[in-house]
Amino acid sequence: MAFIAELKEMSLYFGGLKANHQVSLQLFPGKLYGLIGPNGAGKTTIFNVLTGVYAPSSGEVRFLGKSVAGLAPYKIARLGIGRTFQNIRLFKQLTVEANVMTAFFSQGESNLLDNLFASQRFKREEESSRKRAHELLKFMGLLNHAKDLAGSLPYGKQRKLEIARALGPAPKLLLLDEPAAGLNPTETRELTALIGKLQQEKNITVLLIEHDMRLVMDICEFIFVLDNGELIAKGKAQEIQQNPQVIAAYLGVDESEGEGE
Amino acid sequence: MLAFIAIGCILNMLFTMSFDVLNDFHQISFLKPMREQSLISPYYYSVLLLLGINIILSTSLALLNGFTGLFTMGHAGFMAIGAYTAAYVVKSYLPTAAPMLQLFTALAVGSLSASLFGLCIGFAGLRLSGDYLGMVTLGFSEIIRVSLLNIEAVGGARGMTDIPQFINLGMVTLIALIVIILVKRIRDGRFGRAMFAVKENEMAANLIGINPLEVKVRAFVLSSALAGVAGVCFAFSEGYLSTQTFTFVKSFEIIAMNVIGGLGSLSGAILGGAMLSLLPEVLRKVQDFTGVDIRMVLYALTMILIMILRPKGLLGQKEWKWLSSPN
Repeated sequence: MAFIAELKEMSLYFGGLKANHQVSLQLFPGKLYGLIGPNGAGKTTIFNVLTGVYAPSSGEVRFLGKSVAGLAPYKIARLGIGRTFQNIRLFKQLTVEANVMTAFFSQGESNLLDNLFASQRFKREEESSRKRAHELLKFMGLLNHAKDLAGSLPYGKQRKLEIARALGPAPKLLLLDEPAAGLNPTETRELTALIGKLQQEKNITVLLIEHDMRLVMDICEFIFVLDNGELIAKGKAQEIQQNPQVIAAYLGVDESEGEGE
Repeated sequence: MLAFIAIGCILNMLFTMSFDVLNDFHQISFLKPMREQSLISPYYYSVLLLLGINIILSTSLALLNGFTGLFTMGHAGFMAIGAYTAAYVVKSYLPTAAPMLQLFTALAVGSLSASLFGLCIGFAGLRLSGDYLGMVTLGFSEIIRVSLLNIEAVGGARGMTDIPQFINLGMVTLIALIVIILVKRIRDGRFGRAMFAVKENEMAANLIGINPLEVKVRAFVLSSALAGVAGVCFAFSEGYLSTQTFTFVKSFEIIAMNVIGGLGSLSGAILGGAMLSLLPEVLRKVQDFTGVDIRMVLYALTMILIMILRPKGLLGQKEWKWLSSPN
């Protein structure tokens, strides 16, 4: 099939807890997908399974036609899945540009001896990776912060930097975990535009988890809804908004199951 | 490289009475022990020698403890491996060779043997982290020490004597400078960035394609090789090796150098190494002056005061200008 990534009846259990149960979803290349659901629905665990942080208890995980279930995270990253985190995980003591440059590590060709003797190959590689980092920073609108420490950036820019870093290994699939969390409306609008631009200009498939429904409904071409670890609905924005199961999951049906968002 | 040799010759002139550099270099007396011929008194000579060796040790540990965030308590073990292996090889196989050949053999053997042990412990211990890794490395260095104590071929409990003393103060200074430059280069390159990435957030590093285990093993191998170099400097300048030098007390001293200077800072490691080497000697003067035996009390008090006043070390994360990082 032409799927870029696919989960087939993937389940993830922690002891008796069903974090994900029989989840199947397919992502086609070049599209922008949303993954929504109430807190604790198992959205982030899907990201963790896709990126190799957890191995699924059962079922299949395929990326570019290859099974990646249980593969080490750095190997999956090198295959072309990038991600950001719900709680920002930058390298705070490194500069902004160095944060992005760490992401080129796996593409580096110079070895330790090149580094120790500061060979031409090493210098050339450093220069080109700095240049590439600057290009990505320019794309994310962070170029004037290149020499600042990552930890000193305001929150919204840290989120952008995390995306810039995730783009470093040139991923084909980008997973964004609540990219708009903690951002003000202006920053959210900027970010929305950036995600759109990213998907169009770089032709990257994006899957994003988000609680900001306006953002999701605005930009996502296709939406998956999770509740209690299970996929309860998928479809276009309007279909999702009218789906009774989704409404039930978000607003609750009766008092015993009531669960507000 | 030429610049290094030039610096070495200048240092050699400074520390010895010999100004005939070219002739020196030709006869390689450049490498002869200079303690007795030095312009400075043998006491100061010894202090400066120890200073140089301590700076090499402290800088090498910065790679592990400071940059990669690996807490290790067995650095003296790597130093011992380098010192003993190099001394044994040179004494047994090259007793009459030219000093230059002896020097390069010693450096190669010392750093390679130590890094081999670094590689082993890297693979064995790196699935652990934090305090547990500290414990494993501590145990490992004690195993090395006790083993050496019981190997008759290296002198056993009597220690190893009659090691040719071809490393002088100028040479140690030169080697320390080279080590500092090498560690700086590593820190500033892609491997250094990966080390900092692993230290700050291993999961994030993993998810951008960095294999944390690989980075840690690299750091271990490099760091232990440099500790081995420090061991070589020690062995061939002192001329005598005893396992008493390489107890865990030495390991803790090296950690203290890093912490006092500022963990994660290369300049801090150098400053800390210098501080902890010179402080006891400065305090010796104080003791002579006051006539009271309070040297080690003052030493401990100074360390406590530094940690209270500068909890992140003297330099924190900062670097001196000539060692500043582009990252």
